[in-house]
Amino acid sequence: MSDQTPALREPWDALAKQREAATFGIWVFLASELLFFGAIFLVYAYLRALHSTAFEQASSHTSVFYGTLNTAVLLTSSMTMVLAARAADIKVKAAVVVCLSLTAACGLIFLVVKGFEYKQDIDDGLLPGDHFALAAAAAKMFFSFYWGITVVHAVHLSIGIVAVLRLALDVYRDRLPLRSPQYEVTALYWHLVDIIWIILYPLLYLGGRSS
Amino acid sequence: MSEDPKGARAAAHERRLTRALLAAWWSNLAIWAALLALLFTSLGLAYAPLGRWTLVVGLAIAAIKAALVAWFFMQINRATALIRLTALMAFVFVAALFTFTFTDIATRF
Repeated sequence: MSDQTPALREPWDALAKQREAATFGIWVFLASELLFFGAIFLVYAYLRALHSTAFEQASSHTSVFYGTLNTAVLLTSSMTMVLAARAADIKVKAAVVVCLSLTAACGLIFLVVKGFEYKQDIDDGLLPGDHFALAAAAAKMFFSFYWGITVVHAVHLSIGIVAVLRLALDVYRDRLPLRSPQYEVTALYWHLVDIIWIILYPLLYLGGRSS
Repeated sequence: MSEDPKGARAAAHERRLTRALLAAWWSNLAIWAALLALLFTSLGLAYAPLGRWTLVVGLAIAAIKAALVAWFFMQINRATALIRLTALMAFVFVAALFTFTFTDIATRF
């Protein structure tokens, strides 16, 4: 049985307290992450307020197909992640392993789709530099933001994938008790990465489509 | 003889676990369906001639999606006051960041 490894760690004297502290800790971290991304979103909002037409035109050049597909993939991964955490709550090990594996698989699919999208963007001349395809100066600002934020998001997602795979492997090998707060903590991080993408989706992909 | 009630208890426990897992499946599946419906609504509305409202509508739908994820998936609905306060503070600081910056933009240009 997987609960042979003690879930309780120093310095807590009760599992409930440990869980509460772990959840509080990750929320403080997520709050700081939100400020980190908030500052980047602020730059976007500021530039868009000053160059709204150029930003809308530039955003109509991103691939709405890949963007929408990836949003659907991440939303699905959040659902499988929450199911993994709930399965851990009620201690059904097989369901935890399956749901965590599905979550990591969705994360990997996202990265692969993003790779295809980057290839298309580069072919279309959307990488800011000497061969940039769009005329407006602010279009370069939009695509600098696009590349910067999507890479930062992909790094966050990659960290999430490694964390989820590690959890899946540990629970499969009975190295991590199902009462451990690590499922909840990893799930919360994963959902935040999803939320960041949810906000990015209209900013990157939905502008200038109707004109 | 004494094995029987034990076996029955174990079976009842097993049934309870399955029921709990199924309940979690269905409620989270419903939220996932709502999230996908919102995603495709947002995609469709992007092609409607809404002018400047396109961004507002896109962000409003994104906010609803983010709220669904936070409330149900991140379990703010079941969280303690301490956790709710922490999550709220993150938004308060980001809101302050935007408010003070945009008071500048709105009055300077």
